[in-house]
Amino acid sequence: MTPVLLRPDLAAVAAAVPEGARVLDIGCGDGQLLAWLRDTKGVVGRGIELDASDVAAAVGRGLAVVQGDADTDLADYPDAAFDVVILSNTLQAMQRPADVLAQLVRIGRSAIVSFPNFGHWRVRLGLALSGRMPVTRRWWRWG
Amino acid sequence: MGLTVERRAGLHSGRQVAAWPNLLADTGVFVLRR
Repeated sequence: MTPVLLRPDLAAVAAAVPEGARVLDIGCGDGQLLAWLRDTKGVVGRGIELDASDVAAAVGRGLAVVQGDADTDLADYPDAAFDVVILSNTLQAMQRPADVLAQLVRIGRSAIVSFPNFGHWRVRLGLALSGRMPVTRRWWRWG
Repeated sequence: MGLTVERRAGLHSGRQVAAWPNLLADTGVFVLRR
């Protein structure tokens, strides 16, 4: 099998996931990270994704992904149901991020959260010059 | 909320940023526990 290269930010998240862990990926997109973790680290993965076409793509990879909204659906999961819960570049799109973080550490024994740094110097410069927060290709969910 | 930050890192293009991560990192990665 040809090794799949992960996006750099996903590779940083993947590095923090133990081998064989039970993983829930919230906002898993098309399942790239979950598929990599399954194939490389032997994790047992589940996913939640809002976008129906991404759910279809993830299911097409053989992943257990359901359509759902992290802002409302996480309360249905029992305590400590997973070893690791991942929220990768999704927190900035949440309506109630503090509630979502509390749910992550309730559902999982640990949570891995990544997010774009809006304090990056390019963002600060763009804000100063244009008066608007920049929306880049990688940060489209924020826009 | 009772969150504990176990690890944190600032990344630029996937590589850890050692200095001034607030300004130079494009992504933050946190490992949290209750």
